[in-house]
Order: sequence, then C-alpha cells, then structure tokens
Amino acid sequence: MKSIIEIDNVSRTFGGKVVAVDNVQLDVAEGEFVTLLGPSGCGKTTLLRMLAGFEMPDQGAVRLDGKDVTFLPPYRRDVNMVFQDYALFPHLTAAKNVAFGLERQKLDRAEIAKQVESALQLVGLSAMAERMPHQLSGGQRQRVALARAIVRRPRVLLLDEPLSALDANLREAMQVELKHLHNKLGITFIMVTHDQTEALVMSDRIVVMHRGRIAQAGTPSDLYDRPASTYVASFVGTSNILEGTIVSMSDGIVFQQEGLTLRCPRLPGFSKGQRAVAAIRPERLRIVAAGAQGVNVIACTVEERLFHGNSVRLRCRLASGDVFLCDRQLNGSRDLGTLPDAGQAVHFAADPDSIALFQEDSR
Amino acid sequence: MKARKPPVNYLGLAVLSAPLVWAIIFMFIPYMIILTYSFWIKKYPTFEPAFQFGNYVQIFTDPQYYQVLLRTMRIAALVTFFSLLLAYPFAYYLVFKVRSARLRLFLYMAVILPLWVSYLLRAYTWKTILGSQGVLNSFLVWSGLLSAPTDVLLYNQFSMVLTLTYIFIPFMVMPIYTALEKIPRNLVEAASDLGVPPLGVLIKVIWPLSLPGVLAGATITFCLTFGDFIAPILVGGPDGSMISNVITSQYGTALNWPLGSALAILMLVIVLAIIEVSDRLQKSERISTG
Repeated sequence: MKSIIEIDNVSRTFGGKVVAVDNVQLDVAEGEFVTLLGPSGCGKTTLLRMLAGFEMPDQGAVRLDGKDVTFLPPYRRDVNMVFQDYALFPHLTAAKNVAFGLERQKLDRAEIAKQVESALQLVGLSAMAERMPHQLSGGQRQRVALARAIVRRPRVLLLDEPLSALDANLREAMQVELKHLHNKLGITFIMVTHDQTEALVMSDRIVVMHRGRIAQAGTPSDLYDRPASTYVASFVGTSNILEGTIVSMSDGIVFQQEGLTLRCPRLPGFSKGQRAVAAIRPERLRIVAAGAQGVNVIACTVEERLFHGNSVRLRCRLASGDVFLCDRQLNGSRDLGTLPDAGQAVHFAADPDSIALFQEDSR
Repeated sequence: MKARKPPVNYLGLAVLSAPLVWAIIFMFIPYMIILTYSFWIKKYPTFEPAFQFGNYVQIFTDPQYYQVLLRTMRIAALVTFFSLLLAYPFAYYLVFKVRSARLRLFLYMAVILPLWVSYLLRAYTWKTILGSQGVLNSFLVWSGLLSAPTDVLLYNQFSMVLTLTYIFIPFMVMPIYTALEKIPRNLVEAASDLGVPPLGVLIKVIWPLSLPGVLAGATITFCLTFGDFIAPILVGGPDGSMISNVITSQYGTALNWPLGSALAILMLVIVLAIIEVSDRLQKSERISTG
C-alpha cells in the first residue's frame, strides 16, 4: 500500500531539555486509521502537531504524499485537525464555522452552502446550522468540529483526543460513528488518545508511545496478544507484572519468584540465572482446586471482589506481597456464589502460552 | 405554610451605607445643585433663581459654545483613533508574538508605568519636547533638517492630540491586551489549519473576538479626553481649548455659573450616552459570542 505520511527520524526538543519526540520513524498507509496511544507527556500530541504544522521538528522530515512538508505552515498543508476542545469560533454559527475553511477556496456561494449542508448532514446536524457554538451541547460541538475539518476533504484527518470531553455513553456512540465515517470517507485518520479502549476499538493500527519513542506499533490484537514490553503489556489492557529469576532453561523457560514457579514457552535471548519479568492477562487465568498439582499454579489470597456487572475482578495478594488480578466472566450474578470471597485462599493456573516473558520492567 | 419574609441583612446595609452616604453627599447632591443652577439666570454681577432653558438654548445657538463642543468631540475622536491605531498592534504583538513571559511583562509595564507619574508632569514633558526651545527643535536644527526652530509643533490641535494620545493610551492598551489574551490559542491554530494565512486569521478571528476590548478602550479613552482641561492649558494654544476649559472660565473669570452648569450637565449627558451605547454594544456582542 502507498504511504500517505512518512515520518522520517523526527525529533523535537522543548527548551533545549525536554525531549518530547525522540527519533520517531513511522509510515502511514493511505486510508489507514492509526492511533497514537500513550499517557500524557509521551510525545503523541507533539507528533500530531508536527503533522498539522503547529510544531516544527528539530531533526528529521515529514512527508505528505511524497512531498516534504516539514516546514510548511499549517495553512498550506492538505491536512485538517479536530481539536481536543473543538476550537469552534465562538462568534460564528455552526454553518459559518464549517464554511470557514472553504472561503479561501475559489468556490461560489451556492457551492459553499451546498458543501456545508452536506457536511452537516453527514454528522447529523443539519437542524443546528444556525446555532451559535454556545447553544450546542458538547457532542454537537464535536460534530461541528468534525464537519468543519472534513468539509475541506483533506488527505489526512488529524484527531487530537477527539472524544475525551464527552461523557461515557456519548463517547462510545461516537467511537462507532467515527469508525463509520472513516469507512465512508476513505481518508486517512490519525488519532491521538490516552484511552486504550478507544484505541483498541477504533484503530486499524495502534502506535504505542513511551517517552517520545515508539514502544510498539501493530494491529490492536497484535498489541494485546503479543506486547513487546512490560510497558505495552500494562498500558494496552491490564497485565499482572511479576518480577523474578530464570532458574532453568530445560523444558521451556522456568521463571521463579518467591513461592511461585512458572513455566513459559522457549524464547531466544534469555539465560539461566538472569532477572526477568513475566506478564499474565487477568482473564487468561483458570481457578483450580486447592492443592492441585501441575505446572503454573499460582496461590494467593483474595483481598477484594470487584463486581463489574458482566464480569468480576478478584484482587488478590501473592506470597511476595504483589497484587495479582484475575477477571472472571459472569453468566448472571448467580455465578458470583461459585467464586472465592474476600479473605479466602485461591489457586489459579496459567497456561504457558498465556505468559509473556520480558527482559526488564520498562513501565 | 406561612410565607416567611427574608431576614433583613443589617450587616450588608451597614457595609453598603458608607459608600452610599459618600456618593449621595459628594456626587448626587453636587450634581443636583449644578442641575438647579443650569436653569438660573445671570444678572450681573450675580445670578438669580429661575426655571428657564435659556442657558441650553445659548449653547446650541452661540457658535462660541457649540463649536468648542464639536472641537472637543473631534479631538476626543482623533485621540481615540490614534490610540487604537498604536495600542492594537502593540497589544497584538505582546500577546501573540512575544514568546518570553518576562519580556511581555516588561513591555506591558512600560506602557502602564507612566500612569503612576503625575499627570501634570507627563503633559508638561511634551511642552519641553515640542517647544521652540525644546528637545525636538534642537535636534532638528542640530541635524540640519531645519535652519531655525519652528513653532508649529506646539500650541495647536496637533500637540493636543499628540499629548492626549500619549497620556490616555494605557487605557486603550489594557482592555485590548486583556481581550486578546482571553482568545484561546487553539482558535488561531484552527483558523490556520483551515487554510487561512496569518493576516486572514487576524481579520476573521482575532479582530472580531477582541472587539469588546476595543470598545471598552475606545469608550474610556474618548470620555477621559472629552473631559480633559489640563492639556489644552499646557500645550493647547488659542484654538486648542476644549469644553472643560470653557466651563472653568464660566465659573471663574466669566462669572456665569448658570451657563457653566448647563455646559457641565450637557457634558454629563453626552458621556453617559456614550457609556450607555457602548454598554449595549458590549451586551449584544456577548450574546452573539456567548
């Protein structure tokens, strides 16, 4: 597939000290929905702002459709942005906000009106065209911002935490809507978010960022199932992170922590005696009878039972003192009775292939 | 249930009473006295109580008075115009172009600090700059641009407008600066993102959003200039006297308090009208922008 955006070894340092973006290399294919995911301060927003033209890199190049746009001002780039708090012009109606970016293009009035109308229709806001921004709800403002950006038919649409200001129900609905919009328009979407659920639901590809660098890039299921580091394992979804030592390399890798032995699949790069970190997803655990023999039995004490409606989370404590989580799906709340309660001892079993082993704790 | 009367807030009344009494004694009563005087008749060497509008009629029929009034309005309008012309780019530069917060504060204070210097001193400064023996003339003669000192710089409407602009420009800078600072930066970015180059952003986004500040600054500057009577004395010259100077002379050498009072009341009405109009514009602005 053809790359629409090439980010070539880009770095950006603020005030000569804070490295916001550190040597990032990333290609985005035409029509892809890519999410930059990471906690605040990881450089994702700075990277997005460099694509928009609000920031210039200190080093490296940004290419749009093969053309170097590294130092092109925002108003000469064929990209548009949906801002985190929408940035609607408060002195203009919704329709005039949408028309704002068209007035520079040499179009006659009727054509502008037609395009504004169809953009507002696309986001379901035709009836609100003459409202001022302060007369609109948060969700409606978000739609106006979206319409304002897509009416210009940019090659790439940039979305800076577009859903973070919405309440939970609306956010979920908008996630689906944005995804539909992406399919319908066929243009490239690059979204920044710190919400991993959002990233998993919406993206074709997720780029996890950590301290200005790309920690891992891949499809949502790739990242979830095969995280490249403890950082990704704990940021995308939840993981139990256990520190220990490799005690044996025969018959897979045997990892040991105080009172706990785990057998993991054979991986290159590990050696006997070294420190290592194991990550286990809370939902990949089975509950087994006390005293059950076999590999990978983890004994701990339930401290809390957290009811989530369709599932329950057991918050347990290991012999080492670490917290250990286990999620169980519930088929109706009657299932709760079959689960151990707070204060009780419990034994979990983890299949070897459900354990990810890492060299170090990079959280 | 019985409707309960809200308790009387004695403490609130007590707090409010001092400024209220102050306002009544030193503002309301004096204005009422002046209003009363404005209907009296001048009978040399003093004046007699009456209720007639002769003083007001005189203001609007005698060119000596209405022309001064018009001149005062023109000067106030010019001062407002030039203050805006200088203050807006300055405030814009401070808010949007100066990156260092320290430099911004320094430049802002450089405009505001002169307010702490005596008004008389500031007006007088221009006399020493513009006078025929002044700094500017000395420089022009020294540099060879002029063969002899000129007296066209001082004692005319030019020197008045210049001095008053200098004196009142901080009142234009402050509200504009505040209005510009309140404009979210992402609006500027959004406009740029939508393909609008910097000048377009200034015209289509920044200017309309800063109008409340412009309006406030223009109102204050106009009203302050309108009532000024010191600059005309120091740098004004024969054709530079303003309405306040005429009022002063009615209470002094001309000894015509009724006419002076009528002029004062008229001034008050004009200023109140301007403030009212400005207030309504502000409100409609606020309604349209939220």
